[in-house]
Amino acid sequence: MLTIRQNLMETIKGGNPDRFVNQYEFMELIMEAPMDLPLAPGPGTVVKNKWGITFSWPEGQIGSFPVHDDEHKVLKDVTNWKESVKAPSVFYTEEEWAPAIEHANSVDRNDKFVTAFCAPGIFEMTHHLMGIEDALMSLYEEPESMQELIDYVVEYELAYAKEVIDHIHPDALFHHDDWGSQISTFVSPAMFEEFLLPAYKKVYGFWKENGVELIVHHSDSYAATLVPFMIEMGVDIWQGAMTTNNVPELIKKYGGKISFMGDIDSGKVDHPNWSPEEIEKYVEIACKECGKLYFIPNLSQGLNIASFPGVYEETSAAIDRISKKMF
Amino acid sequence: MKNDIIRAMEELNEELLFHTIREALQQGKTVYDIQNNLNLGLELVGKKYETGEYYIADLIVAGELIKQTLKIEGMSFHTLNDRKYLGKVAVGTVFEDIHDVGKDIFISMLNSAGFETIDLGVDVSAEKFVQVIKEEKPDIIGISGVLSMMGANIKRIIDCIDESNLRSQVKIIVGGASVNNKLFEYVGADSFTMDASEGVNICKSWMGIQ
Repeated sequence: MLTIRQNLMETIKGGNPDRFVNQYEFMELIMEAPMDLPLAPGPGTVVKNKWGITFSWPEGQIGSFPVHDDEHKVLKDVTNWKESVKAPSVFYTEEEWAPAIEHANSVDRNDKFVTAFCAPGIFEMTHHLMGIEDALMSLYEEPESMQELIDYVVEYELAYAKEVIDHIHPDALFHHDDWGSQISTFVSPAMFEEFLLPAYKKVYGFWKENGVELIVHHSDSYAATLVPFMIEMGVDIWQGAMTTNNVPELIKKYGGKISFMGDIDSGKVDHPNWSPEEIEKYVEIACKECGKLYFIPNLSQGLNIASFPGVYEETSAAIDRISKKMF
Repeated sequence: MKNDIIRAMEELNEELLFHTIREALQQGKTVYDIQNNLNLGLELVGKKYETGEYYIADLIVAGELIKQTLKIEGMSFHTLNDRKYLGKVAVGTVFEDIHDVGKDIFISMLNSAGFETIDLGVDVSAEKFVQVIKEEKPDIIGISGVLSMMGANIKRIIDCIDESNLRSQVKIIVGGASVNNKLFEYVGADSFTMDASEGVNICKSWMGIQ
C-alpha cells in the first residue's frame, strides 16, 4: 500500500495510485504559523487587523468577514493607496513561531506534506481593502494604481513566504484566492492575465524556488477558463473545483499539467438535512465521472471542515468506500 | 442615434455612451427614450454575460455607467421625476451572516436593470425585513445567505414576514452560495438563484417584464 504522499504523487503524475486521495489527507496544515489571517478572534467580536481592515464575527457565524461600509473601508480611492494602505510587518518572534515549528517537526514527511497556509489571496486582499465593487471597477478605471497595489501585496506575500520557508520548510503551500462566482469569473481571462498571472508567477515561483514541491490553490468557484494560467503560474492542484466547471472535461484537457480537487459541491451535501445517502450519491458521481488520475474527490470548502458536524467525515468515509469498489 | 446608445452601452464604451446621450438630448430626445435605449443595451450586456463573453466585473461596470449617465446634464434626477422604475426591491444578507459580495453585485445589477433598490446591509434581522415591508412597501424582498448553516435564519425571516400578515404583499427571492433546491423548499421563498444575473431576470418576470 502506498503512503498518503506516494498515492498523491501517483495520482497527480498519472501513475498508479492504489486508492483515491481522500480530501485533504495529504496536507498537514501548519495553522499555528503566525500570520495575519482575515479573522476576528471569536464569535461576537469585531477587530481591526494589521492592514486596518475591520473584521466582524457575529454570534452563531462560522467565521469573520471584512466590513465595507463607508466608516470602515480602508481604501476609499485607489489612486491614494500609498497613503491609505500600509502592509504590516512579516516578522514574528521565535516564541511566536515555536508552535508551528514543533508541529512541522512532528510530521512524517514521507507520509504527508508539511503545508503552509496563506489567506487572503492577492485579489481578495484588494477587495478586503476596498470592497468588491470598487476593486473590480478600479481594474478598469485606475489600472495603474491597481497594478501598483497588487505589486505591493505581492511584495508583502514574498516577504511573508520567506519567513515561513525559513521557519517550517514546507513541502506544500495551500493558498486561497477566490476568482469567481459559481458560474463566472470575476474578471475576463485577458484581465486576469494582465493583473493576476504575473503576480502569482512571482509568488508561486518563489515558494517553488525555495523547496516547496506542491502548490495547491483554492478557488471554490467557476474558473475553468483560468486553468491555462493556473498551469503557467505553477499551480499543481486546483482545490475547490466546482461541478459548474465540468471537471471531467478539464481532466481530459489538462490532466498531467494540473490536477483537480473537488467536484463535490459543499452546497449540495453540506446542509441542515444532510444524509449519508446523499453524500454517497455525489461522491460516487464525482469519482466515476472524473476517474482515478489527476483528480482528488473533495468538498469544495477551502479547509478540511464542513459547516455541519459529520459532513466532512461522512464524505471521507464515502470516498474510502468508493475507493474499494473502483481500485 | 438609438442604435449608438444601445451599442455604446453593450460595448461598455463610456466615452461613446456619454457623447451619444448628450447628442440625443440636444436633438430633443426625451430622458424616457434614452433610458429605454440604455435598458436595451443592458439587456445585451446581460446576454453577453450569460454566454460567457462578459464577466462579473463587466456587470459592475455596466451598473456604474448607468449611475454616471444620471449625472449628465439633462439626465439629472430632477428631470426624471416621472421615471418609472420596474419595481422596488429590498435586499439584505440574513442575520448572523455578513457576506456582502453577492448582495452588492445583485443590487448593482438590479439598479442597472432599472429597479429601485433598498440596501438593508448585512446581518439583517427578521424584524428589519418586516419593518422595511411596512414602511417602504417593496415589491420584492431579496435575502442573501452565503453559509449553508443560514437556512434556518432565512426561514425565520420568511416566517416572521408571514406571521406579520405581509407575505402576500411581496415576492421573496433567496440567493447565495448556500442556496439550493432543498433549502429553497425548506425556507418557503418564491424563487432562488445562485447567480445575480438570473436573479434579476426572475425579478423582471415577477414585474411582468420578459
